[in-house]
Amino acid sequence: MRGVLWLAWRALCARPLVSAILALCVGVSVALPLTSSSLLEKFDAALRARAESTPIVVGPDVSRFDLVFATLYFREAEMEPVPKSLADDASRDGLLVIPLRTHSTVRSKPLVGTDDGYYEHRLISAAQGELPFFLGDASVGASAARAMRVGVGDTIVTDPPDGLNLAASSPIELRIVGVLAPTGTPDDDAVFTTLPTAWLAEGVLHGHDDARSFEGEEDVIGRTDEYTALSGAVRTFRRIDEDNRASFHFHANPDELPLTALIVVGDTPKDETIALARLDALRGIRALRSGEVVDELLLTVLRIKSAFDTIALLFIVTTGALLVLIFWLTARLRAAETRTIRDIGAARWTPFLLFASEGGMILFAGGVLGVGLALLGVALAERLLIWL
Amino acid sequence: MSSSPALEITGARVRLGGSEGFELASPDVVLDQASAMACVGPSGSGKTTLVRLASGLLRHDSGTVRTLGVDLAQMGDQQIRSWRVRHIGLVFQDFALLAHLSGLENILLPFIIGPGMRAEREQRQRAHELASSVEVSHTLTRRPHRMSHGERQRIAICRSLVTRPGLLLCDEPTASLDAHRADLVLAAIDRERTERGASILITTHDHAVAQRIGSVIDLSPVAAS
Repeated sequence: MRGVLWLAWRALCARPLVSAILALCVGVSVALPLTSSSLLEKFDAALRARAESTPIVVGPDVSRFDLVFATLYFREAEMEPVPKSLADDASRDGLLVIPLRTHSTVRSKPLVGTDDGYYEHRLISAAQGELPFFLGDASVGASAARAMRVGVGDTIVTDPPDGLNLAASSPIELRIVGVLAPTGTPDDDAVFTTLPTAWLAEGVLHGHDDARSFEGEEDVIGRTDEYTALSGAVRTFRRIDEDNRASFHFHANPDELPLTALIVVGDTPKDETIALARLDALRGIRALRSGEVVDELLLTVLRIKSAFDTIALLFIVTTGALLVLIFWLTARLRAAETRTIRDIGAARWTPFLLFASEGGMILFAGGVLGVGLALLGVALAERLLIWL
Repeated sequence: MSSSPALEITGARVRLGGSEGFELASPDVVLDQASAMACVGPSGSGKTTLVRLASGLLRHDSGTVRTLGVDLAQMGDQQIRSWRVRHIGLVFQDFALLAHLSGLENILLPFIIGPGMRAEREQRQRAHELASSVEVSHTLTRRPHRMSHGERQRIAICRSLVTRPGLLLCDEPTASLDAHRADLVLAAIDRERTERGASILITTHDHAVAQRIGSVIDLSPVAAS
């Protein structure tokens, strides 16, 4: 048997490219279902964990999926904001209410404006530096910091809201005060600020020189003893520092300041149910349990998974049939070799064992490769989950 | 066994091609131990069949075939294979080298595939000596596709000799060799006879080669009739 194994090994080595392609085919056939199963398991676990830690989501009356994914994963969606007064209303019953504003981005990473409750609720801490506290401060998620190659003390600039709109607010410079510890959640890929900083980034809040110092007609459109009305041509500050921090202000009603959504956490399920019913009854507001939406999504994913499994099975069967065909043709091509081995005096089953050994080695190599690819796929899947 | 002929074929007939085939009668042959015999004849005259009968590759339907004192009809298939790899040296007409093995590995093939056999240091040493004797030492690391026709043939002859067989059956061993190489091969084969007492049956269509071997069986139709 040792001789047969050695002969099989030599035969495979004599055709390295063919052997490698065959092993790769087997490897991919093994890796695909393994990776998809593992990915789905992790996807399922990650989605559920995120949903469980975000029991109730409150936002505008839009698609359930848009609202949940905008809140849990900071995914951009065409959603009207809800007013800040909703947060005050929601917290009336002694619930934990966490406001979120996710309108702007920094180098395509979501800029998340929130308050300290978010970090406490999600158990997020700073690995370096601190959490954002002042206007213009930003703390960057672990993956985002790595991707943007920034650290504490660096500055980042928000993305222009609309490159074609000259009247749109200008990008502002943020000072990084902390890098967050990795959590394996979408928080790793986001940039966190205070709510006023998020509003500043989208132009709701702004700062400029003392209005009384403007003289020209192009800057001043009206003036009384008490007020000076400035035109849109006045240049606003793009950088926040100790000297100008106090000058930042907004002109809107504070109750109308925009929020993307609220995360509501009650002490008991009963509290949450009551809050859910009350908030969902408000006009133009949708309140829902994120877990239910995630379950609905996972049902769809499971259906896709079963279809994918069928495809993977067909793929395996096809690969198996191709391998059998290849070995059968190879056996015919190598009939002279088989005859020689038999004629010299090898046992009757030696040629069969030889081809079986070659097949076994290909399957073994393919299996090892497949498991390796699956492990790699799973490792990449964890990154993918954050991206998702 | 020492007193019996190395090969004794008496009235052997073999049916080829199944029920609708034909029956072939083998010539009667007696080859003494440590002697050599040439079998000459044109293509299709039954030279290869004779070699296959003598080695047990072809089972006879009637008559007697005794090789190295063993009645082949009494042996089972597996038994005969195991016996053949140890006691019979075979040189095939098409050399039958394994394309993915080097020259040395091809020579040592009987030890690789033979049940219970292994290529130890001694066998490797013998393979090198045989290769040297027929001037193919330089091809031992090459695969057959990088050898000339003659080199492949001589590697095949080394393979047939490496197990120190009691009977060497060579089917056209010098067919594609020039005179010098043919001399080398015949000398190496004859050395097995003179030094170890091996018996040799060579088929050839070349009468000059046959004359050099010693006794001759002529299978050409005129001679046979």
